[in-house]
Formats: sequence, C-alpha cells, structure tokens
Amino acid sequence: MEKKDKKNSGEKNFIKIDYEQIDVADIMDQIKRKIAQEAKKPSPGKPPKEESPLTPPHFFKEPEIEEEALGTKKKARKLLLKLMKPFAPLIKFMVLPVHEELMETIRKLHQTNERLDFMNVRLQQRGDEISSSLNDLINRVGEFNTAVHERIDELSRVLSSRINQDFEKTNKRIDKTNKTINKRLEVLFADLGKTMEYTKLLHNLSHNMVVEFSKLKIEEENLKNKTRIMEKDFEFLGRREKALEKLILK
Amino acid sequence: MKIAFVVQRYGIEINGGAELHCRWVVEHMKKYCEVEVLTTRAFDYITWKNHYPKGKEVINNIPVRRFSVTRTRNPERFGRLQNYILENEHREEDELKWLEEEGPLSPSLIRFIKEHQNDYDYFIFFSYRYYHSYWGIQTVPHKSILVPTAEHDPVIHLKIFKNLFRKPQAFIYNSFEERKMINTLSQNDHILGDVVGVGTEISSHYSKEQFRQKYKIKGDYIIYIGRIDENKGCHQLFDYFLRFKKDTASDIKLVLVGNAILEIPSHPDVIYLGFVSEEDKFRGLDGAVLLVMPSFYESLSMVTLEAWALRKPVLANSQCEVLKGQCLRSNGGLFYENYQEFKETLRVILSLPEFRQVMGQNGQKYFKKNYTWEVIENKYLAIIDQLERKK
Repeated sequence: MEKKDKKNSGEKNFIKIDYEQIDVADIMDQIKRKIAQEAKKPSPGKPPKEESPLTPPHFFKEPEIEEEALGTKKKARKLLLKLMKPFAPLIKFMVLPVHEELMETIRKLHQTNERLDFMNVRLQQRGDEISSSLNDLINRVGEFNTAVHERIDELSRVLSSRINQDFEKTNKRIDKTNKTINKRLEVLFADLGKTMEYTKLLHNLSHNMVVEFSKLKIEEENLKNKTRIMEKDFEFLGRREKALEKLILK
Repeated sequence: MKIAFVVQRYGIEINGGAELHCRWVVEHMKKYCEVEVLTTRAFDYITWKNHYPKGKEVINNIPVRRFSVTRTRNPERFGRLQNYILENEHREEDELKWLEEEGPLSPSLIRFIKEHQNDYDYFIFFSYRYYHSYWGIQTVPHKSILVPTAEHDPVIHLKIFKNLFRKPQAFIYNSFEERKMINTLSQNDHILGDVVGVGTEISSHYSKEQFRQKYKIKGDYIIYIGRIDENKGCHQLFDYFLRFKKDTASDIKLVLVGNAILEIPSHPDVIYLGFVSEEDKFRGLDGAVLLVMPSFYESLSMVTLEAWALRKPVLANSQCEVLKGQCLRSNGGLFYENYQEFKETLRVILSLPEFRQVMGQNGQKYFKKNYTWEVIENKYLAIIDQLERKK
C-alpha cells in the first residue's frame, strides 16, 4: 500500500481537494476531465510496432575491416606522414589523401543512398500497411453499414408487417362494427317509420274525434234548447190546464 | 394505537432487503404503540413455498400472524409472463395476472385485513410490487401507509402501480431519488410522505485484527458485502477489479462477503468468504479500505449506511441513482460509470489516506444526521401524527 502511495504521489496533483470541505461532485468532475484528457493523448506505453526508419537495416553493414589490419594501416600511415612531413604542403596536393577522402565521401554517399533506399522501402511498406488497414477498416465499416442497413430493413419489414397486420385487424374490426351498426340502424329506421305512420294516424284520429266531439256538442246544445222549449210548452200547457179547470169548475 | 406491519416474509433468518428493514422498524416502533406483523408462511423469496407454521407466534416480543400461500411461484412461468407484459401491449387484467404470479399469493391475508380493519389504526405495507401490498392497500386505502422500497425496475411502470401509488394515506420513502421517481410516475405529490429509510446500530469497537486472523487476510483490501449476483453488478466488479490489478500492479485485495449465485473468478487477490456472522461482517468492514457497491438497482443500501457508520468511504456504481445521490449528499464516497472511472476513483481513494479518512468522517456525519434510530423513529411518529391530525 505504501509502495502504491509513493507511486501515485505524482498523480495527486491532478486533483485538487479541499480537505476542510470535500465536494464529491467537484472531485468527480476533475476525475472525468482527467479521463477525457488522457483519452485524447496517444498512449505512451505502447512500443512502436515497426522499426524506426532511421535504424540501419539488417542489410546495411559497416565495412568489415579487421582490427589488426586496421592497426597496421594506421601505423603505416603515421610513419608515412612522419617521413613525408617536410613535404607536407606538397603531399597535401597529392592524390592519396584526396583519394581517401573521395573514397570516404563515396562510401558515405553509398551508405546514405542505401539508407534512403531502405527508408523508401519502409515508407512503401508502411504505406501499403496503412492502405491495407484503411481498406480493412473501410471494408469493416461497409460490412457494418450493410449489416446495420440489413437490420434496419429487417426491422422495418417486421414493423411494417406488424403494422399492416394490426391495420388489417383494426380494419376488419371496424368493418364488423360498421355492419353491426348499419343493421341496428336499419332496424331503428324501420321502427322509426312505423312510429311516424302511427303518429300520423293518431293525429288524424285525434282530428276526427275533435270534429265528432264538436258535432256532438252542437247537437247537445240543440237538444238542450229543444228541452227548454218543451219545458216552457209544458209549463204553458200546465197553466192553460189549470185555467181551463177553473173555468169548468165555475 | 395499534399498527399492523404487512410484509411478504418475516423472520429472524431473513436477513436482507425490505423484510429486514420491516423487522427493524417494527422492533423499534414497539416502544411507541401496539404493533403486530401480518405476513405469509414463506421463507424462500423465489417460490414463496410455505415454510413457517400457520397462525400466531412471537418473534423478539413482536406478535406475528402468518397466512398460507395458496400457490407457489413458478419462476419460469413468471419470467415468461413478465417478459410478455414488459415487451407487449397488454391489458390491466394481464398485469393483475402477473401480480398473482409475482405473489406471494395469500388471499387469507387480504381477507383478514378486510375483516379486522377496525382492530387496527394503520396498516404499514412494505414493498409495493407484491400481492399483499397491492390488494391490501385496495382493501384498506384509508388506513394505509406504504413503504415502497422501489428501485429503477421496469415493472414500476405498470399501470396497476400508477394507480396504486395514489391510494395510500402516506408514503415512507427510502431515498429522495425513490420519492422523485414515484412522484413523476404517478403524480402523487399531494399525498403525505417523507424520506425516512432505515437505521442501524453498530458497536464502535470491532477487532479488525481478529477478522484478518480468522480469515487469513494480509494487506489492504476493499470489501463487497451482499448477494454475489449479476443483478447486483458483481460480474462488472470482477471484470473492473481484475483489469485494475493488471493495469496498476496494485497489491489491493477484493474481499467478498455474502451468498454467491455468480461464479467467482479464481484469483489470489479475490477472496470469497461466503456468508459470515453480523459481527464478522462489521469486523471485515471496519478493516477494509473502502466498501464497493457495484449494484445497478438499490432503493436503500443498508450496508452502505453501515460502512459510513464505521467511517469507511464508499465506491458506488453511478448507474444506481440512489447510491450516487447518497454519495453526493454525504460527500462520503465516489462513484464510477465505466472502467476508466472505476480505475481513477479507486486509485485516488487508495493513494490518498487523508482523503479516505475525511470521506469516512463525512459519511459518518451523514449517517448520524439521517439514519440513527432516533431520527427514523421520530420521522415515523411525525407521519402518524400528521395523519391523526387530518382525521
């Protein structure tokens, strides 16, 4: 644990904590920010997969000169330079050093050429790798795209078939309901027609009855009048009878 | 005053979830009023098979009436029905069928409530999603108080529950997140309710060394306590923890306490202890660097509160809104959404002992303010008092 604490001590700085008043929300924000920042950085821990282009390739080799031979050559060169020191200015113009330098330069040029060739080859290889991985990626994206499209199509098909089924079911139910309603309406209309006829008949009947009642009323009045006249006649006849009786008795 | 506590299972052996929550509340409320527990004979929460004897018994001085379960649950049939109602258009009758399958199907319990409703002043129902709560509340809505213990579970969106949440006289929620979820679902803001939760009692002295010796644990460890199950996010915890070990070369260990339903990865730093005694649990918690809670759904994590009571910081799964909300409110824990966040948060907590200590202290303050039994009892009494005044 202690070991771990020490190891993590460098990371403590990324979080600012007020120990007097800890705010978990703020600490979580800091942690989320740190994670987001780390996600943006390329991961340093991963070793490069390929060799550096500047690393000499296995096919490039320094010229192999045996150490012993190299020593003898140096000694001979030193001795020769000592002997020729008086003639140094002249020798400087002579062919040997110029030739050596020339050879050295050619050798370096050759090496450089070879390194350039190697870098070229590496670049080509890297380019091929990148293009092949890009192709892979494009293919995978394409495949994924196709799969997604297929899935969407499938889902759309399933969904539309279910919607259609539901529509059909609903339509059937609506048709059935319509039929039932129509039948019931027809019955109702027929009943209504009958009721209307009955109402008309009743209306006529009422009218006729009113007329008959009116006639009867008039007749009743006539009869009443006749009765009154007859009563008066009876009254008159009664009085006449009494008068006649008085005359007879006298 | 006489209060009936209605819960799906009840017993000393039942040591988790809403049932334990109910038992603790009943045992504490006994001081203030006459209490009685109405429950089923079930012990197994998967099949609800009758296990306890029928009738009345006394557990820790609490009278308990047990009613028979008339039909055991067939998990396969239940799963099929649940999938059907969650994935298809369905009618309310289908939901009621689902509720019957969910169980524990005990019509005699509901009949008892109906026939003896005048013997009790209030019925406190635990766990909204079971048969006893739904039909119990329908039977005595005017005397009902519901402790929903709801999680972000898809079944909470069923129509029957939307209506159910408008029936009780009061709600006792476990968390602010639960209250918000239920209010949003059923627009029942007008019903009396308070966020209460459950208290816990912890002795201040536990010998962590005894725990280490008993289980032969050396070095620092983080601890998970609970059912080791995919539903509790344990598969993700194993994956994240092993990746963390690989990426950071940390020597931290993961100690697992609880019954395992999931296969535990074979790794020297993943130590599985199985089911342990309460004392050992607290000892283990006290000796841990932190408590990790990978669960996606929790209405109230008791073990999280216990960790805070013991001044231990918590590392929780932020997909569980309740745990995340509690970490934010208490400032006693961090949370993660993915592996990167798990790695960073765990690394920060492990590398900063002072941070751990302050978070633990914050957690303990939060616990003392909200979850001691005195606070919980007062909240229950306040709700009952408000209901009495309404009468």
